[in-house]
Parts: sequence; C-alpha cells; structure tokens
Amino acid sequence: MTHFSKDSVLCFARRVTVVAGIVASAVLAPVAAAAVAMTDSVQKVERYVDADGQVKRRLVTTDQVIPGDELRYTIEFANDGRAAIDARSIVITNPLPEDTVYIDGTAFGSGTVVEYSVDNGETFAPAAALTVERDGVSVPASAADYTTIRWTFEPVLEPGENSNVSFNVRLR
Amino acid sequence: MFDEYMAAPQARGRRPRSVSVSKAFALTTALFLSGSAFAIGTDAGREINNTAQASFSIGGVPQTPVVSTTAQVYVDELLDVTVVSDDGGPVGVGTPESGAVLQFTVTNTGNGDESFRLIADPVIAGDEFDPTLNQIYLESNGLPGLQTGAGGDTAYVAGSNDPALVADANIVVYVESDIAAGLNQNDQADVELRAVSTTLIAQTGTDDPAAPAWPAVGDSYAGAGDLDEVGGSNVTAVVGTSHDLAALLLRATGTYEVIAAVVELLKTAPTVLDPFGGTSLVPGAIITYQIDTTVTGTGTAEALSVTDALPADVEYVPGSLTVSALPAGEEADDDFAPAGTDNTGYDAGNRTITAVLGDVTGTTTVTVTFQATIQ
Repeated sequence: MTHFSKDSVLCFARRVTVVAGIVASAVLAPVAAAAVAMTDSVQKVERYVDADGQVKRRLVTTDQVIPGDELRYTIEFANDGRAAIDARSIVITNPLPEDTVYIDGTAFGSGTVVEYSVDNGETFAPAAALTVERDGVSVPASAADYTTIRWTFEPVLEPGENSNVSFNVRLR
Repeated sequence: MFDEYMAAPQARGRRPRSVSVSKAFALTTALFLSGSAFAIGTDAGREINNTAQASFSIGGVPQTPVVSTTAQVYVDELLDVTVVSDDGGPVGVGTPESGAVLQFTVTNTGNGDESFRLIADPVIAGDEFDPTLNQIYLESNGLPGLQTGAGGDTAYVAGSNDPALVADANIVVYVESDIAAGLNQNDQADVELRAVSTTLIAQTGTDDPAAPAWPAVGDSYAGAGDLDEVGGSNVTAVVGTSHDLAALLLRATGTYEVIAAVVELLKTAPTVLDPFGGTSLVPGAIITYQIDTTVTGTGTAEALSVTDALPADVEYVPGSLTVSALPAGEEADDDFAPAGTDNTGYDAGNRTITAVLGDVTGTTTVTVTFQATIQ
C-alpha cells in the first residue's frame, strides 16, 4: 500500500465493501452459516442386582416408563457450522417435563454452570440461592420446586465440536 | 374380673382387642410400601415430552435460538392393588351364627383404570376352624356396614361385576359367612380376601399367587394396558410391587373369633327415700342401688356373680338384695349368696354384696338391687 492513487483507493474501498457484505449476510442467515444442532434423548435408570449381589444402576433405552421410574435426559449439542461459537454464549434451557420431579444434584454438563428456576424460567439462580414462599415465609427451595434447568457452556465451541448436558427426574 | 367385659357395647358383638405385634408390623409395612409405590402416580397412557432450547452467539452476535429434538416416553399401566382388613381385630361371632361379616377395603394403587377379581379363601392354615362362605358384597348403597336385600349392597359375582376402579379409587368389600355350632370360646377363623387385576388374570391365566404362572414384579404385557392419550394404542401393563410374594399387599386377612357370651354391667343412679318421704341424703334415708347385668351372645356366661362394694357411711339393709331372674335351683329368700357364705349375700367384713346369678344364657338382662341406710 505504498501507491495511493485514486483508483487503488477505490479498489480497496470496493474490497472492503465486499468483505462487509459477507459479514452482513452471515448475520442475516446465521443458521446456514453456523448452527448448533441439539438432540434430546431419554433413558431409564434401572436398578439391578449384579452377580455379587450388589445393587447397581444402569441406563436402559426405552420409551416405556412407570410411576416412580428415574429417567435421565441427555441433550447433545454440536457446532455444525464453520464459525466458532463464543465462550459463555451457549445457554441451554430445559423446562422439566410434566409429571416429573427433578432429582437433586443430577444436572450436569462438562464446562457448564448450572442454575435453576422456580418460576418457570423467569429468573435463574444457583441451587443454594433459590428460595420459595411457603405459608408466607421465604424458605430455601428444594429440588421439587424447580421448574426449569439452565446450563451456561463456558468454553468456545469450535466447528465440529460437541458436548452434552444431562439431568435426572423421577416420574410422579 | 368383670372389668374385661365392661367396654361399651359394639355393633355385631365385636370385642375390642389390641392389635397384635405382627399385625402392627404388617400395617407399617403396608404403609411404607404404598408410599414408595407412588400410589398417586402419573396416569397410564400419558405421553411425556422433553425439549431443550439453546441460545448462542458467534463473534459477539446473538444467533437465532435452536430447539432440540423431543425425547418422548409413554407411561405404562402399573398393575397394583392393596387390600386391607377394616375390622381392627377379630370380629366376635356366636356359635352358631349366620351372616357374620368381615369388612375389607380394596384400593387401586396402580395408575390405570382396572377391574379386580375378588377371591375369598376361608381355608387358612393355623386357625381353629373354617367358616362357610356365603357371599361377597360390594358396598354400593352408601350406608356404612353391610345391608342385604332390597336397597342393600350389591352381591358380587366373579367375572360379572368385578369392581372397576380408577387409579387411587377404593371400594369397601364385605365377606359374609356362617359360623358352625359347637365351637369353643375364642376359637378363631381367618378369611383371606385378595383382589387380582383382571388384566393380569387375562395375561397369566391365574388369580392364585401360589400358581406357577403367577408373575414376578416387573413382568410386563405389551398392549395390555390402558389406551395412550394420543396414539389410541394400548400401553404396556406392568406387574407392580403389590404382587411380590414376600408381601402380597393385594390380599388381607380378616378373623372371626367365637365370643359365646359377653357380659356388661350397668350401674344405674341410686334412688333415695328419706325418713320424711323426700329424697334428701340425710341420716336414716334409704338408698336403693340397681345393677343391670346383660349377657349377649349365643353362649352361656357360666357361674356369673355380681359383686359391689358399699360406699362409706352407709349400712346394708339386711335381706334387701333382690334379683329379677332367679337362677335354677335358687330360692327367692336366700339372697343368692355364694354357697358357704352369709346367707344374706352381704360380707360385712369387706362391706361387699354378692349376688350369684349362676349360668346365664344370652341374651338376658338380670337386674340386681339392694338397699343401704345412711348412717
């Protein structure tokens, strides 16, 4: 860029315009260029007695459940696009399924911060900070009070990378 | 010794009895298991969906949020039922007695709509006799207890009117039996009532927990459960914990106990006649005491005697002891005193009166009266 002629400046300016155009189109059509794909699956946590007489737990894939069953939901998310997804920008929200109660301490996700809501997702807070009103008194919330779980994924998710979060509930 | 018989009269001659240790344990176990079995469970056939949503940014620019696929489960029909005895202990019966009733409550502790076959078994090991079963009745007229005949409760016919119960609903069931003659006092007869899901009977071909075909907890029958709420197909039916042979919550035992004769004493308010024809409690006034002794039941209260201690400051009026019905062989003028005691029936040393009533058959009321003078 030693020769600053009008033409070269115009030419540079055109190039800048072209680059800007690419950025603009990425904003307008983000799904095509960079997408998070999410799949949700469910498994039953089954207790069984092994050969040594120990009660153990295993995950069984089924779509049939009975009251009292413990279920694990796993949400896998992948960067299917070509651009990296910003750190701390992936926020996964999961309202608890109907007729289920969250099992305390089971929400997990590598590299995530887990928060809960007791007001159908209006506000979120760490488990220890949540309170509910009972008989006019504010008391610490229990797992049965949770309505929604939220995970904030802290790392950058590069193209082609994936991760997952999970939680367990008990069917009423 | 009469204190044992002084309890308030009860319907149908039931005798209050403390719950034995084993029964108390069984009750606790039942409550625990029904609690852990999620008696109030999600209805069979429900479809439960889960979906997550994610927001994210690229290069600081928020992107359109995405929604996950939907994870779906269907709620199977859990077959569970509990039967409990409502009698709170053995039901007193005569020997003989016809139409003796045991009461049970059958509750659908599963999560679907289910009909139940009722089976009463009078042949239970470890008791003294077996009653003759007449009929099982379903509470249907809204009045407590069993009423038979027109406007009464409904006679149960297996396979015809098996009670259909929605989840958590219950029904009171009566088992009516005849008790033979000639049984001994306190002889007991156990009757077991069990309720078996008709779905399970259709699938296994048996209603008998002792049969080889009886299922294990967790056995399932595809398509045998209730309709699912969306697809119109039947969900799987699953055998619940009430079928566990170690607990068998789907059955309960009621007990008849032969109570041949029950004696109750009722001491009525004394009447007073003072020396001036009034009713004042003054020295010289005569107090008349009355004790009604009622024997109920089909048997005989043998060698019955009634004893009462006089209050302080009164003196027994000699010869005033009377009874309304004379025991066989007793003379009206001997004050019904026990053999070998003061013929007046009064024991001055212990200040007690004793009236010997002898053998009294049910149902009879004998009134004992005596008088005392205020000193």
